[in-house]
This record gives sequence, structure tokens and C-alpha cells, in this order.
Amino acid sequence: MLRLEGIDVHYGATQVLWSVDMRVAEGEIVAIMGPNGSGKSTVLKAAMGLKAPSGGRVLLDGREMQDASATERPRHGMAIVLERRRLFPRMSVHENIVLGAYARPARETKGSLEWVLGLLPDLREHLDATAGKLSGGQQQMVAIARGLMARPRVLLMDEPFLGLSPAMVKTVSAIMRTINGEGVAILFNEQDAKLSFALSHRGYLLESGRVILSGSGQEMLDHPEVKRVYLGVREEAAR
Amino acid sequence: MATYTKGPVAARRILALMLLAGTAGTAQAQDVSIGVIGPMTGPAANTGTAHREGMELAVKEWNEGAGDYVSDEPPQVELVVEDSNSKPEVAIGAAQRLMTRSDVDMIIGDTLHSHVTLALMEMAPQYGVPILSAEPVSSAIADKVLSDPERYALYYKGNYNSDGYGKAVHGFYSWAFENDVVPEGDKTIAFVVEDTDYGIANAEKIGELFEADGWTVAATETTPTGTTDFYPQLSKLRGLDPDILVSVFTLANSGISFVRQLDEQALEASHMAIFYPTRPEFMEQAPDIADGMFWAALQFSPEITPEHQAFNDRIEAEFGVSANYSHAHAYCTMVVALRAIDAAGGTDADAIASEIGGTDYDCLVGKYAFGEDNTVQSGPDFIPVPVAQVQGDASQIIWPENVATAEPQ
Amino acid sequence: MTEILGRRPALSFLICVGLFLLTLVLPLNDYVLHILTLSLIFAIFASGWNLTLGILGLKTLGHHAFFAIGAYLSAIAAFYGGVSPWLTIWVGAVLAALAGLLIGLPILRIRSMPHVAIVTLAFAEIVRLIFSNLKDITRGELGFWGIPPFDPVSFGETTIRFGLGNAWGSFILVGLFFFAVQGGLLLLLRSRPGLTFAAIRDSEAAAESLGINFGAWKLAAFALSAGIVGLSGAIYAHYVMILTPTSVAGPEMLITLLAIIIVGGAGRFFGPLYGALLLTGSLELLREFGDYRMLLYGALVIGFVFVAPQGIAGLKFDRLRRRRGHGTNESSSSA
Repeated sequence: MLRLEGIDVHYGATQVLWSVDMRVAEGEIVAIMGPNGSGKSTVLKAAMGLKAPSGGRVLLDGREMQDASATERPRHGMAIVLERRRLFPRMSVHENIVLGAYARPARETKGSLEWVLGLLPDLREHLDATAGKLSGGQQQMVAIARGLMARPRVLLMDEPFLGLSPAMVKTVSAIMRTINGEGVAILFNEQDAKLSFALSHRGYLLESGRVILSGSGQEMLDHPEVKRVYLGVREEAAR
Repeated sequence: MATYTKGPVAARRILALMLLAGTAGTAQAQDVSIGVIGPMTGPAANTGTAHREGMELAVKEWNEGAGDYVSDEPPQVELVVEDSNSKPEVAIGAAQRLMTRSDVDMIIGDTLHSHVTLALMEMAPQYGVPILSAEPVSSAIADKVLSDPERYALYYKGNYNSDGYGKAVHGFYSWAFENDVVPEGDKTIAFVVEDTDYGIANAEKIGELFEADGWTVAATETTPTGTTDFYPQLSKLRGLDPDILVSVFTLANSGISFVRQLDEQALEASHMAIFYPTRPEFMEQAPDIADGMFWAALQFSPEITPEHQAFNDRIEAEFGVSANYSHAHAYCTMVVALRAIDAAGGTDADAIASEIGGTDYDCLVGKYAFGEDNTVQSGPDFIPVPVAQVQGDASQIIWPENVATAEPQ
Repeated sequence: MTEILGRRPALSFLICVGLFLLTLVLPLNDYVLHILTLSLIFAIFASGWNLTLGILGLKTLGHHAFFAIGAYLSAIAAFYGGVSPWLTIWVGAVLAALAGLLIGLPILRIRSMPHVAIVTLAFAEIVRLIFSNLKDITRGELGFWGIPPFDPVSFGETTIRFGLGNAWGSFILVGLFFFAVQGGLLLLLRSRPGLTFAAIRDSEAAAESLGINFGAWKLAAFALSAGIVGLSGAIYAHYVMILTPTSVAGPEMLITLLAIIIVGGAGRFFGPLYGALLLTGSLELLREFGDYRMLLYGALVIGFVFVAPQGIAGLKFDRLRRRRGHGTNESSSSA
């Protein structure tokens, strides 16, 4: 349903993505794995329209998205959970979540809220809390809930596990599976190869702004290059 | 739960305080009460303070038996002073406070500002209280009176119109050209004035009178009140090379800066300074920077007028400061009001107003008499507007000839 | 939004309305009514400005320009056009809003807040100079007088008059305007636009990712804010009935209003009302102290900034929250 074709991105004169091709099919969880600075986040921003590509196309269900600005894309069924959560820290959890439905008709808000709280029941008791005062894990859940309020068919998640405790990583992974079970496709990025590919149906390996490998989650985990570079070395330099 | 009304409680408290302020009137032992509204705070507070001192002295002398009474049983008078902060809406508040809280029988105000007076004079018909403004000169006030004399029957303007200075400046130069005091040149005049009703009205009037004589106004530069950097205006004027340069400021600081910078620029024009040389702060520095400068109007000159010196001594004894023109004018304004109330024999507003209108009284700065526009008249027979010159350590009156204390140098 | 509106804003609003109605039956003298009327005019001004300065967090310092635009244009339309002030105030408000749009377009592109502050200040100075130089129309600093008051309104036998000297009528009128504006703002802030403003202030990036076109929203808020301030200026013009460029667009107006917003609580819905009542009221109460009045006033403002850095409205909120912190269990049930 979501396709990136030959995406080039420049920051000023510096090119950071080189003809990136990716696709996310209906109901899939897709991981973008790669080292720091490989351009993972930029792929998501380009897909969402938050960073304009200098070349290539973004297609959603075969429709070109180039002319749709970032503020229009939620209407087409896309949502993004930004890096480091990016909540509205001075507002309540409830207000944060409700704002996620900004792009949807107001009459849907109540139903969407019930749906989201059904998926993330733990949030119910924190609805009145000030968002900025929650723990990192709780904030991530609020951010996911906010993203889901747009009723996306594909949810982009930028570094969803960044800075979370191991227990919280498990919880968030479980939530991502649950969401996926509701028919929401997910495209996320993560530096940890094991975590990325164990959670995803398919994955891409990005290096220096180029896709150098792709395949199913298991294929990626078994690939000698991934094993040698990312599972071997990375494990020692562990996070 | 119990604390959510905190905000409204705070609001209620403020309200309660204001109610208190509004109702806790002070008992009065006096027969008559006069309210004064002037700029006691803000940029013009210096002048406002002088007004207050002048008026307080007048009332003190009156109450102590040293006044110039009309009747045999002059009333005892209470004075209530309120601040206008140089703002119309604040002055309105002050007037309402005077009317409702101090229950005054008459208001003197604004003591300085014309724009404040334009608002304040509305209070006369609204509350049926006589209002006499003190130093404001703007002709707009007199025009307003003439536009509806019935409505403003209770309002009087205690200073001459803004054309008073214009007539004096024009009259002086006509005389000066005739007597070869100043060369006429190619008949161009220029102005640097502060951007107030006072500055602009003076420039317009003087320009008008000179243009009628075939002169050209080369430039009218306006600067905000309080300006101390005049190099842009002066360098422009140097190019235009006018024969006469007129400057009008109400603040001494602006005047001092202007005169200094003018000296540095070495313009050849004959310079006429208006108003700011009446400020003592200016005169302290004048011998160094302004020797030979013409200025208007020397209406208060203790050095050369014994009567003014005596007044100065009384102000000094009472307040420990030297008197200036604002003290004298405020004093006379108050005396005019006191005499009118005395003559009216009561606190009836119409009677007081009618007595003010009939004033014919010689005070420190000249003879007070009101014209058809309820405005004090200026000129040799009424309040003279003498032109002076800085000569050494003092200023001497050089025009009109009948009151001159020295020859021009 | 609790931070902006406080808890139970609708109830607080109704209590304020109740207090207003109460003051109408109290035997208040003209002086007290005049001070309350001025407070409410400044409270409308501050509420409008608070929208951009406090709630959106834009450091715009030129709103006294919109006050002057509203005041002068309404006065000009009424004086020269002979149109009733009941109509011309809306002309003033709409033109101020348009001016807000005009100046908002370039300002909202500036990212650096100090630059926004300087540009808006300069804009206000330009407006002041324009009005003081259009002497043929405004009489400049000579003062624009002859501005008509609001036309009287009759209910059967009784006629209510407005303008200076008609303190009671003016107070009712300004009170109605104040509560209309405040009520409208409350509805706005409690609905989606309010949430959107708060979201933009908290994080533009997050707002954009949710599909919020924050540029358009900020521009709309700026225009609305300018329009409200313009309306307050127009009401002021027909109440005080004289205008000078310095008294409506001078730096003192800026400082007075800034103090009202800061003392009341920048970004708090009820801040402007508290600030306007407290500062305008205390300035009058301090008249008792004669020469020390402005000194004490300055000390009062400084004192408030130290004691209540979030303003009066913020003080209330913080204290309440601290209390909530001690008894979390009971309070969470109130959701």
C-alpha cells in the first residue's frame, strides 16, 4: 500500500538518501535497520512529507503523495509517531491523544478514543495527568495512542524504542503487534538488528543512505552480513 | 475542590477595596473645596509639582487672611490635588473622584496639558461643575468652546490661546527688522518643534503670520517629546540656511541639547527659543551656551521684577525651591478662582462661572480678563508676552519697548 | 488546557458575570464605575493580546498599534462619516484584524523571538507616527476630539446614555462587551481551536505531524487577537471621546498592558481580568500616597512578578496542584 520509489533527499548540498525503494504491504510490520546517521529517520520523514524529497515518488495505494503536504497526509491514512515522542508536554494525556484525531471528522473522535484506549488500557488512569510528567515508556504509549487517533492504515514510527527500559521495550513491542493485529501496517526504524527483525515481517538494511539489503525478518536475521556486522559487533557495543 | 473559587475571590477583594476607596469620604471642615488635576507623575511631573506649590501657596495665603479678597467674609478653602499622569482617561478618573469622593465645588485642570483639558472640559456640562484650566494654550480648546458655547458655559481657559506666542514672535521680529536688530535676509523661516499640540500650534501660527509678510517657511521639523539628538534636523537646516530659526520644546533637557548642538553646527540664523528657557534647569546653563539668544516669553523674572522676587521669596520660604513661571501662573489661576468663588458668595456653579467670566484682575503675570471664547486674553493690555535675550548671567526683556529692561545686544 | 483555562473555567466565568451583575445593583459612584470601566476595556485589550503573547507564545510587542487602529478608524468613521459608533466599532475591529493579517504574514516567518519583538514594536511606532502625521484628519497630537459616544438606548421609559460622564451606562456597555468577548474566547479555547493553539505553542513539529497547518492557525490567531484589541480600542475611543497618538499608541500603553498581562498571568485565560482589575484598581488606591504613588505601583508590579512569576491566575493553579499532589487518590476520581 505504501511505496517509496527512488527517493533522494538532500539537506542543503548534502545528499542523505540515494534512490531509496521501499514498500509496506497491507497488514505488514516493516523495519528499517541501520547504524546512526544512515538516514533511517529521513526515510520516515520523507514518507510523511515532513521532509521534501529531491527526487522519487511516494505512493499510497498507488496514488502519488508528492502534492499532499505533511498536514494533508493524515487524511489519506498515514500517521507518524515522532522520535523522542514529541508530546505536548504542558497538556494532559487526554488532550494529547484527542489532538491525534485532528485530521479526522470531529464526530469520530469519541469512537476512536474508545478504540485506542481498548488497545492501550493502561492509559485510562493517566488521562488527566500532564503529559510532560510521565515516564518515557508512558509517554511512548501516549504518542502511539495519539498516532492511532488518526485511524491510520499505515503508522510510521521513528525510533519507538529509544531510551526505553528493557521491560518497556517488550511492552511497546507487544503493543505494536496488537496494533498490527487490528490491521494497521507499521513502518518503523531501529538501530538494534535483533529487535528490528524479530518484530517485523520484513526489513530493510540502510547504510549511508542506501538500501543495501532487504528481505523477511528471518532472512535478515540469518544474513551473514547482518550477523557479522550488526549482531556480532553491535552486541558488544551494546546499548 | 474547595479552592477553585480562589480567582473570583481575589477579584472580589479588589472590588471591595475599590468600594472602600469610593465611599470612605473625608469629612470637610471647610466652606469650599477646590480640586486640582495636573501631571503630578510622569514626564511632566516637574511642572505639575510647580503648579501644585503655586496653588497651595495661594490657598494658604487665602485661608490665613493674606489673600486679596472680594467680600468681607471670604470662605475658608480646602484644596484637593489629583494626578492626571498626562493622560486624558486618568484625568477623567481624577475628576470623577473629585466630584464623588471629595465633593469639590470647582475643578482647576488640567494644569498643563491641552489634550487632557480637551477631555476634562467635558466634565463641566456632565457634572455641572465649573472647570478652569491653568497653563494649557491650545486654540483647539477655545474653538471647542466656540463650537457650543452653551455646553461649555461652565468651562474657562486660564491661559491665552496658542497664537499668543505667535503674535509676540512676529511682533518682535517686525520691530527688530525695522530697528536693524536683526537682518531680514532672503525671508526664510524654519522650525524645530516638539511633536505636541503646543509645539505644532506655535509653529503653524508663527509661520502663518510670517507668510502673510511674504516670507517662506523653509522647513517644519517635529521631534518626539524628550528628544535630545537634533543632528538630523540641524544638518538639514544647515543646507536650507534660514534667516530665522524658531524652536519650541516643553522640556528643558531637549532645549539644552538643541541649543548646544545648534552652537556646534554654527547656523547663521537668528534663533528664537520658545518656552523651554522659562525652565530654571535651562537657565542654569544658558550663560555658557546661549548668550545672545532671543526667547519668549519672559513672563516671570525675579531678577528684574521686584514683585516676582517677592513671590519667589514666599515660594522659597514655603517649599524651599525657587519659583518659576509655572508657580506664578498656577498661583494667579488659583487666585482668580478664589476671588470668583468669594464674589459668587456661595458654591453655585453658574454664579462661580459667571464671576470667572467677569474677572478683571491684575496678578503677577499680567491682567486676567476672559474673552468671548472663555479664554484669557493676551497682549500688552492683558497678559503680555515679552521677548527676552540672554545677556551675560541674566535674561533681559527687550520687547515690547514699554516693558523692556535692556537694549538688544 | 487546564494550565490556560484553570479548573472549571465555565464556573469561574459565571461567577465573574455574577459579580458584574452584583456591582450593577450596588450604589457605586461614578468614579468607581469609571475605574471599573477602564479596567474592563484594558481587560478586553489584554485578553486579545494574551491570545498571541500568552497562549501562542509569540513575543509580539506591538498590539497597542491595533488598539490605536481600532480607536482611530472607528472614531474617524463616526466623526467624518456620521455613522453610529454601534457600527463603526466593528469597522475598527475588522480593520485592526486586517492589519494583523498584514503584519502577521511577515512576522510569522521570523523564527527568532527577539526579532519578532523588535519588528512588532517598530510596527506600533509606525502606526503612531502615521496617526500623528495625518494632521488633517486626526489633528495629530492636538487631539482628535468630538468623537461621538455610543447612541443612547431606550427601553420603554428609561434611556441609557453612554460616554464620559454617563458612568453607569458606560460600565454596563463595556461589561457586556467584555463578557461577550470573554465568553466567545472561552468557547473557542474549550473547543478544538483552543487545543490546537496550545498544541502549536507546545510543539510545532508534533502539531505539524498531526496534520495541523500551524502557519495558517497562527495567522488566524494573530488576526483574531488584533481584531479583539482593535475592538477594545474602538470602545475606548467612544468612551473617552478624545484620542491622541501618544495616549493610545505610545510606549506607556505598551508597558501598562504588558504589566497587566504579566501580573495577571500570561497565557492564562483569566489572567487579563485579574491583572486589569488589580493594576488599574491599585493605581487608584495608591492615590492616597501622593508623591509615592508611582514608586509604590512599581514596587507592587515587581513584587507580584517575584511572588507570582506565573501571574495571579497561575498562582491559583500552582497552589491547587500542589494540594492535588498531596492527595492524588481522591483527586483522580474527579476525572
